[in-house]
Parts: sequence; C-alpha cells; structure tokens
Amino acid sequence: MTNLEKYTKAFEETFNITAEQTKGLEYQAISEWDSVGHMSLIAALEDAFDIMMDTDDIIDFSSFEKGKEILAKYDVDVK
Amino acid sequence: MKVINAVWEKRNLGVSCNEISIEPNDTANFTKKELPLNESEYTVVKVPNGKFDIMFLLKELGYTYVESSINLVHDLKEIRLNPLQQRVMDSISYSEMNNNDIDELFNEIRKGIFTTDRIYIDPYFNSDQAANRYINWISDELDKGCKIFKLTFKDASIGFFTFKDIGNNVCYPFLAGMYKDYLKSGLGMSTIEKPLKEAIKSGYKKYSTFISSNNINTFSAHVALNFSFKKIYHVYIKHTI
Repeated sequence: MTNLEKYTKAFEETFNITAEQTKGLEYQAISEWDSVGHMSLIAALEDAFDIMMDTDDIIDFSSFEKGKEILAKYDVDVK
Repeated sequence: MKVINAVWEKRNLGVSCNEISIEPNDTANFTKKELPLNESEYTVVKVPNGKFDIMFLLKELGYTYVESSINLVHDLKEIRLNPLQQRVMDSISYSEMNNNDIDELFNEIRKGIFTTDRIYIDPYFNSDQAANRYINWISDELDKGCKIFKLTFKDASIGFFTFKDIGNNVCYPFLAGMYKDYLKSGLGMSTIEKPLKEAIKSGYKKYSTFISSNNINTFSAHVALNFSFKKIYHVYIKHTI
C-alpha cells in the first residue's frame, strides 16, 4: 500500500467516507470532522505512519491537502 | 406553568421577554388558555420532553421551534482521555482571567465566536445583539461571583470557560468557547476537559451543563468525555412586534 493509499484510508475509516469524498475535504466540512473526529484522525495517521505529531501541526491540520504538507515534515511523502 | 419576566433581555435585545417553562402537570387546554395571557414582545417557551400535545399546540399558537437544551452531567470520578487526547490536553494550560483577559474575551465574542444560539440564528435579531447578550450575561455572572478562566496554548489565548457554583457541591460551567483563530484547531475538547480538571481540583462532586442541540460538535465532545445525559427540554419562540 502506498503512503497516499494509507493516508486516504485513514480519512475513509475515521469519517466513514469514500476516497472520492476526501478530495478537497476541510475541517468541519462534514459533521464527522469535528474536534473529536480530528483527534481520531490524527491518532489513525500516527498509527499508520508510526509518527508523533506536534500540537502545532495537529492545530494546522485543516484539510486533506494541508495534511499532506504536514506529514512531509515527518518524512512521510504522501503524493 | 412558570413565567419569568426576563428583564435582562430588554437591555440585551431591546424587547420585552417572558420566559415560560411548561411544568409536568400543565395540560394542553390549560396552556392554550394561559399562554396567550403571558406573551411578551419576544416569548420563549421551554417544554419538557414528552409533552407532545403542547409541542403541537405551540405550532398552532404561532411558535417556532429553535433548539433543544440538553442537560449533561459528569460525576468527576475520572477524566478518561486516550493517549493522543492526553498529550494534546497537556499542552494547554488554564488560568483565572484578569481585566485585560476579560476585555480580550469580549472582543473575541464581538468577532462572532458563537453562531448557534437561539438569538444568533433568529432573523429578528442581529449578530451584535447576540454578542452583547453574552457579554452582559458574563458581566452579570462575574458581579455575582462566578469565575472565568482563559485557555492558553504556548503564549496564545485560545479560548475560555466560565465556572459557577450552584450549590450542593455542583459546578455549572455555563459558557465556554474557542477564540476565533482557534475555532478550527481541533482543540475544542479543552473547553470541557479544563473545567473538569478545575472541578475536580476544587473538590466538586458533580459537573452539570446544558448543551444546545444546534451545537452538535460540543455535544459530541461531551459524549467523548463520558458525560451522562440527564434531561432535555425543547425551546420555542414567538415574536409579537
């Protein structure tokens, strides 16, 4: 499984959405991505990529696309 | 039927307001007769869950459903967080506000951090009225001795919570929120976890709060922090101006 597939799967499983729905997805754009869902998503990504994100990055993780930039800081290439 | 003349709403909203609570023994016939006698320019009616005949009657009498108010309680025995939540919550601190902090809070409220309450969503009112109502409410409660805390991440103020003693070892944090720049930060849980910590630290036995059904995100965060449902009432409003 590629990093992009793992990344997308974390969104799909956390928010119960399809890969298609992740495109352009932003925080609070769906009811599932609230503050509780946000923590679940970050936990899923930390598990998937075996990383520990800084709180600053957790705050900045505002969209599907932005998340890719943030993961790059942890040497996770999601493209 | 309990009728409260909410005189503070004249100052907040510029209209006379009666807040009417339907009581368990009130019948639809009684309500149909009594309610019109107690209406004001802006009338708020609170109906306990299960009074279905009165809910239909209110529609007949020209009332609009605006929200349900959900009472949630926590026994303060334990705050259960998963490791990630714990790590993030540990990065946020809280402290009692000074006057400058309170000014900052009021400015944040004026920016529109609350957008789901029954005043904000009502086309008869505007966002300034909704904001001023919160500011006046907090000011009144501060005069009566409630405490107010700011939430801090690194050196930035990110939100706040109020803290009120309602007797019998029960605390009632009646209002909390994130500041504008942090509304989408995912840190909203801190507006609940920190007052829980303060309640435990201060020796309270129970934490009671009311959540609007219009604010599902907050409801979901309370559920995640193991609050229990206690009761619900439905809120209807009517304008006669």
